Amino acid sequence: MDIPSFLIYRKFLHYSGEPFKNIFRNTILPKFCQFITLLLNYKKINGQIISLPLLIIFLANPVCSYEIAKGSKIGHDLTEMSIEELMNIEVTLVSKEPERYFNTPAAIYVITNEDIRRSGATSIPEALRMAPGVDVERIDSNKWAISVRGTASRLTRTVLVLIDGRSIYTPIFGGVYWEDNDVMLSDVERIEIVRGPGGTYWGANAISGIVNVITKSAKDTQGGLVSLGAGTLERIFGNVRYGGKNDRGLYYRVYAKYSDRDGLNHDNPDRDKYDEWQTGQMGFRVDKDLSEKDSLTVHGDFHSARIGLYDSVSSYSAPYSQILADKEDSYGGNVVARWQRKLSEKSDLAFQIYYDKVNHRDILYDSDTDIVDFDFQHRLPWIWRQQITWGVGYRFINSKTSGLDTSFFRPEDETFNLYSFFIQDDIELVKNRLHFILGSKIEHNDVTGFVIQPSARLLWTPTREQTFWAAASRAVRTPSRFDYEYQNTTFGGLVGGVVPAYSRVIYLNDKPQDLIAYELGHRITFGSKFSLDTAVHYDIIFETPSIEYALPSPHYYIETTPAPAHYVVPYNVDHKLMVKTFGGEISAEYRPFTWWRLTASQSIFYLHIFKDADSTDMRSIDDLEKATPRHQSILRSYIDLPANMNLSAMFRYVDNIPTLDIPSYCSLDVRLAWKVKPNIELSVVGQNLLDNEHPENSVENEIPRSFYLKMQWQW
Amino acid sequence: MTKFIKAFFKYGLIIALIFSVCLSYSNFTFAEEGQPTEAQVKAAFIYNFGKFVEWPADRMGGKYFVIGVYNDDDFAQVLTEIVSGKFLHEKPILIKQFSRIEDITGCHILFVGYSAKDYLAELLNRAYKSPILMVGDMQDFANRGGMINFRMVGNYMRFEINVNAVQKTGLKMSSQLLKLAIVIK
Repeated sequence: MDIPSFLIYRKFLHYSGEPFKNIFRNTILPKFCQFITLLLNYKKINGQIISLPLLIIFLANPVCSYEIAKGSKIGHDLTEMSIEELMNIEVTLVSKEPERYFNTPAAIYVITNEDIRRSGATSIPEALRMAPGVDVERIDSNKWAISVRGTASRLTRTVLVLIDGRSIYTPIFGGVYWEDNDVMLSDVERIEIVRGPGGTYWGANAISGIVNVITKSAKDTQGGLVSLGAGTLERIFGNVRYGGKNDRGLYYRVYAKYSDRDGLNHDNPDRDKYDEWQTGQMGFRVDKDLSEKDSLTVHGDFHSARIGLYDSVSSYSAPYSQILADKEDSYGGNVVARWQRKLSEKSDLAFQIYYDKVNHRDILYDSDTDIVDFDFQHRLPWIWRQQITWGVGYRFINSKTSGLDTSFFRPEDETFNLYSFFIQDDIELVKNRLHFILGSKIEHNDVTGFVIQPSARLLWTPTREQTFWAAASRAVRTPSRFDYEYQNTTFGGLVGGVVPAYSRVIYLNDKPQDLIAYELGHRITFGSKFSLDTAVHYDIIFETPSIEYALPSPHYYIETTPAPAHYVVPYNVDHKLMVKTFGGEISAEYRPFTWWRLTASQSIFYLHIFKDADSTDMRSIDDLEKATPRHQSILRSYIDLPANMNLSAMFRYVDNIPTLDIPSYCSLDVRLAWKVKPNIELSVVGQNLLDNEHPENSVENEIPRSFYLKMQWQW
Repeated sequence: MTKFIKAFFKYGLIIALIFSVCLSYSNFTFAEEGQPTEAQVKAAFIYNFGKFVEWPADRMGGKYFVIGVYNDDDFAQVLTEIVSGKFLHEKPILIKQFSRIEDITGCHILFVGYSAKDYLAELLNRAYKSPILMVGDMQDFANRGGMINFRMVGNYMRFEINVNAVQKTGLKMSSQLLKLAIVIK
């Protein structure tokens, strides 16, 4: 062991608890410390930046040897009081939500229903702006580029998004159509955001993150709710929900929502209001306890949207290339049924089946996808200090596409089968102190065959106030049809003013993108007022798509059909890039008073690209590396005011994106709400208050300052 | 926006967070003043319940008066702070934490938190046999056979008592306690 590793080793040893000192001292710690020094010595890394989060962990570490004084600084002894006196004490409830995640060995962040309500967000992407490590870039009014610990684009393919157990990751495009997917935000219980891979549990495509939207049970949404609003960017919107029950213990709710959004600001008059966006959605949910042990949930949605689109389309005859701005209608629907049975304490069975249809229209190609998915999961009883969970799944995907002669899938239609099996074992090495969680998912699909995604996690809870975790995992992204069946030809110009020349990208990459991730995390609470969550990661992603010349120099040939004859420079999409990323997120929550809550977070993300020696990819490494903001800060403040009013504010700083010429920006969103009566709330929301407009992903489309007014009535 | 503000938010937050952790290094704690928390009030209630309930003589042979807490470490900590050094039925109070149902033995009162809602039938079986005074903190706990359940009414703590469940176990409950409770039959 070299000297820096040894110093880290000593530091850790000093504070580690007695019970498992030997295992820790002899095996885990030396490896861990060597890994950290390796990280610190890693040539391209600015040592200071990675050392900051680590420094924080080390600083916080001694705290575990302290007994933190908690609570009970009350002037009087409560046990001296009679029951009558106790009944007259006013008690303020504090949300228990964060505690549930305190002992999770992964970088998880939870956006609660209250967070969503008080943020004034009107869509899932806007709500995700609250989470650290999530990069949300609005491309135009109806499109977002969202990534977790990665480069964001409309084609972000490494984040798995689930709504109530249903994957909304589209298998054709390999991303998420945020413009199609909506939920009734007031019925969302929470949004869990896992940064880092989740392949072992969630399966393929959970590479750099998971967004899991969980709606409330129908039992918790009884009664009616109507909300109406109007504003500048959010031109008009309305939500209606009614929940009831019958006398046999069946709870239900039905909802409908509509919104009409304006386009963003465009300097180019051609683009004026191209991106207007109207959506309508309705759905239901039924929850019923079939017996003491069995419960059944059935829910479904139907959604429809009119989406404004803008793209450049090439053709083989004059005018060769033209800009199309168009309004297209997309629709879809789904039904999910989930049955759960409690077998005993800590043991249960769950079976889920869903059908999902999405008909999405775009300028370059249309697609129609049907998915049927089965999932079974069994949690075995706790035996020999172990909890074993296993499950099997099957997904059938039938997709149909239709494109243009310069943009198409071959074959147009395809079916795809995905089989999966997973097993996970949670071993308690030291009671209430140390857990080791080992698991793997094994998948088989029609394109890549068998794929194994193992992970190992260690969770150490030295005191009730503090948790450390470490993880090493592999996650794999199954190629989407876009990766291996798509072909796109773009007009480049006229050679000699006569012969048209095209570049043609042929997607042939049927290798799964493969990630190995190492993560470390730490959580600590100081009393019930202050908590801190830190996570750092180092990821290596193999088999990342590259664009290679298909022909040797001079790289082009002459094609005669379709007429007229034209030059073509063909490119193949191969996988000759390797990506290394590292970064960290730190978030803190502070409640100085019961009426004031503050949360702050800071994220750092660095990305390095390595080309294989034989790669002919023409894109500059610098451009690929600088396509994502490196720093991001979020500060939120929630204040309860007198007279049934409350004031919420979110400030964000987002670093620049040099590749896209996007300057860094600061934004401020403010919401003021007033409960006129216990069941009527009026709110006014101002978004992006700090500047007139700023771009986030495309310099052509700028997000303006906007306002809206909303009234909500509940009964 | 000036460069300074941007630079501040680029690095300032990290500095602030490090600073706050350093504070904790110097044994700085965020003391809670004034108002007792929800958990502290509940703990005091549980201590009071112990005063108003009589256990069969054969259950009172041990050295300690044992209050068990099932699957709620945070509450166990608060309860320990509140009742440490106190006596019930002339015995010093001992707090025991349980994370598995099989381990629950030898307690007089058992507090089950919200997380136990799925295993209620098994827990109640055990409580009826022993008998144990089961105190819960979840909707429907008393309706489903639990003995005492906490319920918030506005900003005040109230409790429900399921009289039938208490009678079934052979525990004797003072009428004084019943008068203050929301009685469920």
